[in-house]
Amino acid sequence: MKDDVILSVKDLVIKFNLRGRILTAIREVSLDIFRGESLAIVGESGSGKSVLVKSFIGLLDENGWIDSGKIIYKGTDISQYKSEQDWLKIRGREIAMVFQEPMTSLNPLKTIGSQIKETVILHSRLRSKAAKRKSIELLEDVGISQAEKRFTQYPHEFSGGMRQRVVIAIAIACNPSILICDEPTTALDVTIQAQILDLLKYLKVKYNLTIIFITHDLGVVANIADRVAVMYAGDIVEIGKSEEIFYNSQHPYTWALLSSLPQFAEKGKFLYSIDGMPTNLFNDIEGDAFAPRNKNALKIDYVIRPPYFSISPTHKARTWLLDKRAPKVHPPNSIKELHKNWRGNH
Amino acid sequence: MNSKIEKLSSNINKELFEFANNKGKQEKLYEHLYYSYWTSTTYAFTKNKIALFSLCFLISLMTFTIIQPYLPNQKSPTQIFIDQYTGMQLRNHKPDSEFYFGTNSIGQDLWARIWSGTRTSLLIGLLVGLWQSSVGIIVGALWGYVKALEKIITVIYNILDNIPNTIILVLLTYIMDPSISTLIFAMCISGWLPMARFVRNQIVIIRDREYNLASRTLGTPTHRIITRNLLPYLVSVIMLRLALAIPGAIGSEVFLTYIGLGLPIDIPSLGNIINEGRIVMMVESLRYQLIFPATILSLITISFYIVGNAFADAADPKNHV
Amino acid sequence: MKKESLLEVKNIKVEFGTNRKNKIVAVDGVSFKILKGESFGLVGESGSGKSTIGRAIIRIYDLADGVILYKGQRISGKISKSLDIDITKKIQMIFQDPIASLNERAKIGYIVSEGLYNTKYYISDEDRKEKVIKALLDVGLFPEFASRFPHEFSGGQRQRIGIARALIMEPELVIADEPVSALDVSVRAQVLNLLLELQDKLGLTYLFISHDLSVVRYITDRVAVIYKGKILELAKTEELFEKPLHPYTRALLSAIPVPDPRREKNKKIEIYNPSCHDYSIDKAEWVEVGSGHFVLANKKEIKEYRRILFS
Repeated sequence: MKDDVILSVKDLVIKFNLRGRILTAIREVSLDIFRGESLAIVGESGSGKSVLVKSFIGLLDENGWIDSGKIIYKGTDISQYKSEQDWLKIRGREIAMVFQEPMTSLNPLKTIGSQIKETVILHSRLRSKAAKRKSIELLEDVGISQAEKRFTQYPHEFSGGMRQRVVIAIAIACNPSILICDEPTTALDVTIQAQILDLLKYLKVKYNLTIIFITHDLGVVANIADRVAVMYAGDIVEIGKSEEIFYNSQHPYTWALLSSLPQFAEKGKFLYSIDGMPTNLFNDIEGDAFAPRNKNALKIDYVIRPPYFSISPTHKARTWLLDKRAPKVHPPNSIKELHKNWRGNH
Repeated sequence: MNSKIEKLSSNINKELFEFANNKGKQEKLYEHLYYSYWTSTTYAFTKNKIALFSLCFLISLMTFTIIQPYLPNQKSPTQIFIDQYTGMQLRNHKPDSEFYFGTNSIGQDLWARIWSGTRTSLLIGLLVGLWQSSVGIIVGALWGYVKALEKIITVIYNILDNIPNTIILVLLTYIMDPSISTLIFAMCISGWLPMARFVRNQIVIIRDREYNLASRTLGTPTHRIITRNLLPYLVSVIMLRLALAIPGAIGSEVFLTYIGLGLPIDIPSLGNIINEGRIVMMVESLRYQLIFPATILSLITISFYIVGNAFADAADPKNHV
Repeated sequence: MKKESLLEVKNIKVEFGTNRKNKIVAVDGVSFKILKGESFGLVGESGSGKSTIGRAIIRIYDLADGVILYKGQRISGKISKSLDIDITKKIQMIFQDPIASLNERAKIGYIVSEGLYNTKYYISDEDRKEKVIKALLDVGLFPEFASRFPHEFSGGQRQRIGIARALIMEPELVIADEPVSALDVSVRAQVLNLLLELQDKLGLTYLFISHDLSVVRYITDRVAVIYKGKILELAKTEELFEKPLHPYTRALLSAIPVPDPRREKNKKIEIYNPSCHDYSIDKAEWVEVGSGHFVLANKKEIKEYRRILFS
C-alpha cells in the first residue's frame, strides 16, 4: 500500500498576478501522495497550502497559473489541463473537495436531497428512483438521522455541522479516489469537529479514500493524519509520519509552530512566539525563507536554499541545521520534552 | 540526495555554517503593499473602455450644450423664422446648411431648440438627482440606524410610496403654474423615496458590524457613527445611485411633458420637442423632427447608465485585484 | 488575601426578538463575580451566549432581567450620563475579527483616538497625539502607523491596533471577546504574550471569552462553562480541567484535539446528551460543591459530584 503513489507533484511553481506584481505562491514543491493514506498539510496563512491543493483540481484563481513543474495523477500530467472540460474529468469524479464553509458548496435555494441526487445521477448510471435511494443511503452513512425526512429539507434547516456532513456526502457520492478537505472543521464547534473527524476516518476506510487534509490546527493533525507535511512560504519544509513530526521534529519552523501552542506552555510564563512576519513572496528569496525569523539561522541560510536532509526513509526536512557541518542546536524546551517520547532512532 | 550534497560541499566554505546572529527580532515594517481605494477604483474604471468612452461623450456633450449659444451663427430657439421671399413661416424645413436640424412646424430652428432643450432637461435632471440623493441619504441613514426613528419613518415612507407619483404631479401642476420650478418641486416631493430605502437597507446590513459595535463601546455619538463609519462605506453605491438618478429625472420630465403635464411649450425641453416630433411622425419627410431629439435623449440616458454601472463595479473593493 | 470584586453579574437575562412569540433567550439567569486583577474565562460553543454576556456588560445589549454591578454600583439599565462616560473609560472591549473590527475608511490615528474624542479625555490636540503614540508603542507598533489605513496591516497588527484602541482609555476591566481566534498560530502567541504583559504592567482585569479551551487553560485563573445561555460549571481553571464535574464540561474537554498523536488516536470522545438530567422533581440549583467550584445540578447529582471531587 505504501508504495502505491496516486498523485505525484514534481517541482511545482505557481505564480499570481496581483495588480501588476507577480507573487510566487508555490516555490518548487515536490510531493508524493500514497494511495489510502491520510496526509495533513499544515501551515499558516501565506504558506500556500490551499493554493497547492486547489491546483490539483484546477481551482486556481483567475490571476494565478502553474509556471512550471508537473502534477501526475494516475499517469497523466494534469498540470497541463487548461480547459474546464479537462478538469471536469478530474474534479468531483476522481478528486473531490470539501471546503471550510459548507455554504460555498450548497445551493440555499434547492433541497439537500436534490443536490445529492444531482451529483449521484451525474456520476453514476442510476436513474431517479435508484439515485434517490442511494442519496438517502449516503446521508445515513454520513450520520444524518431521519435521512428520508431530511432529504426534502433546505440547507438553512441544517446546523453547521450537519451541513458539512451533507457536503461530505456529496463529495463521496461520485466515488472519488482522493478527498481533499480544506479546513473543513475550522468553523465548527469543538464537539462537532471531533465527530466530523471521526466521520472522515470511518469513510476513509469504507470507501477506500486517500485523504489530503489542510489545517493550521496541530491537534486536528494529531487526530487524523498518518503523514504530515509542514509548509512555510510556499515550500514544504518538513514531511514525515505523524509520530516523526510530533516526537522527532527537526526543522526550526516546526519547532516554533509546536512550541507556540498554549498546550505546551507553562502557566505564568510567556508563550514561545516567532518574531517578525511571514516572508514577502513578491520578492525572490535567497536561501532559506525562514532564515530572518530563525533564532538559530546560519550564514548559509541567507545564501543557498537548503536541500532536503533525510532523517529516516519516511522523514525529511529542508534545513541546513541537519548538515554534518552545522553546529549542534538545542530545540526549545517543549520540543525537548516531546523528543523524549520518541521511540525511534535519533 | 545526500550524495548531491557531498558534491556541493567541496564548493561551500566551512565558514558559512556559523550562526548568522540575527537577533531574530526585527519588527520589519510590513511591506508597504500600497493600495489606495480611489486609485484602484480609477484604475478599474479606466480599464472599461466603453465606460470611459461614454464618460468622455457625456462630458463633451455637456460642455457643448453650455458653449453652444456662444458659438457663431447660432439662432434663437424661440424665434420663428420667416422666409424673406414669401413672407411665410419657414415651416418643416428639411435639415440644410442654414438650419442644421431643420425647422419645426412653426418655423423655429430645431438645432437651437434641441440644444436649449437639452440644457433645460439636464439642469432639471441634475438638480432633482442631487436633491433626491441628499434627502434620500439623510433620511435613509437615520431610518436605518436610529432605532427610535425607525417606526415613524417607515410609516411616512409607506404613505408617500403608495400614492402614485403621477397623481401628485398632476395635482401640483394643476395647483401651481407650469414652469421649471414647479416641475422640479413636484419631482422632488417623492423622488427621494427609492434612495432612502436603498440607503436604509445598506445601513441595516453594516450597522452591526464589529467596527460599529466598537465605536459604540467607545461612546461615539450616533451622528459621528453615521458620517464616519457608515456613509464612507456607502460612497460607491451612493455615487451609482446618483448617476442613475439623473437620467431617471430626465426621463420623468420627458414623460410628463409628453403627456402634457410638464413644461409649457415656450420653454423648450427634450420632452416637448420629442412630443412635437411625435405629432408629425407619420409623415416620412418630417420624421427628422423626432429622430434628432430622440437620438440625443437616448445617447444621454445610455451613457449615464453605462458610466454609473461601470463606476459601481469599479468602486466595489471585491473587484480590486 | 481577599481580592475585591470588580464586576458582579447577578441573574442576568438577555432576550432577542421583538415579537412575544419569537423571543430568543440568549442568556438565562447567569451570575458570577470577577475579582480585581484576575483573568476570568467564559467558555462555550457557538450560540452559548458567551459573547452576548460580554456585550451586555459593556452595554451594547439591554438586560431583560437582572443587574450588573461595577465596584458595587449598578451599570446596567438607565444610568446617568456621567456614569456612562466613566464606564466607557473603565470597561473596554477587544473584538474577534481583526478585519471587521476596524473602520476601513479611517486612519489608524483616528481609530485609536476615537474613545478619547468621545469622552473628551485629553487636554489638547498635542496631548491626544502623545497618547496615541504611547498606546501604539505599548502594543509593539511604530508611531508612524497612525497615518496609515487598516488595510495596510496584517491580522496580528490589526488586532494590536484594536488593543491599543481599548487601552488608550486606561480601562480597569478589559473584555476580550475571542481576541486570538481569527489569528494564525504563531501570531496568536505574540498577541497572547502581549495581553499578559499588559496585564502585568497596567494591572488589568480580564474577562476572556473564548471557545478555544487550550488558550483559556493557559491564560485564565478561573473559568465558567456556558451552555445555551446558562452557566453549568465554574471553578479555578486547573481544577476545572483536572476534575470536570458536569457532563457537558466533560464532553467539551474530551473533544479538544491534543497535539499528541498517540493520545489523540486512542481517545474516545464523550458526547453530551441533555436528557441525562432529570430535573422534573429534583430541581437543579447553582451550588458550591468544593471550594470555589460551582455546578448547576440537583441534589442527586451533587452527591455524585462531591464524591468525584474528593476522591
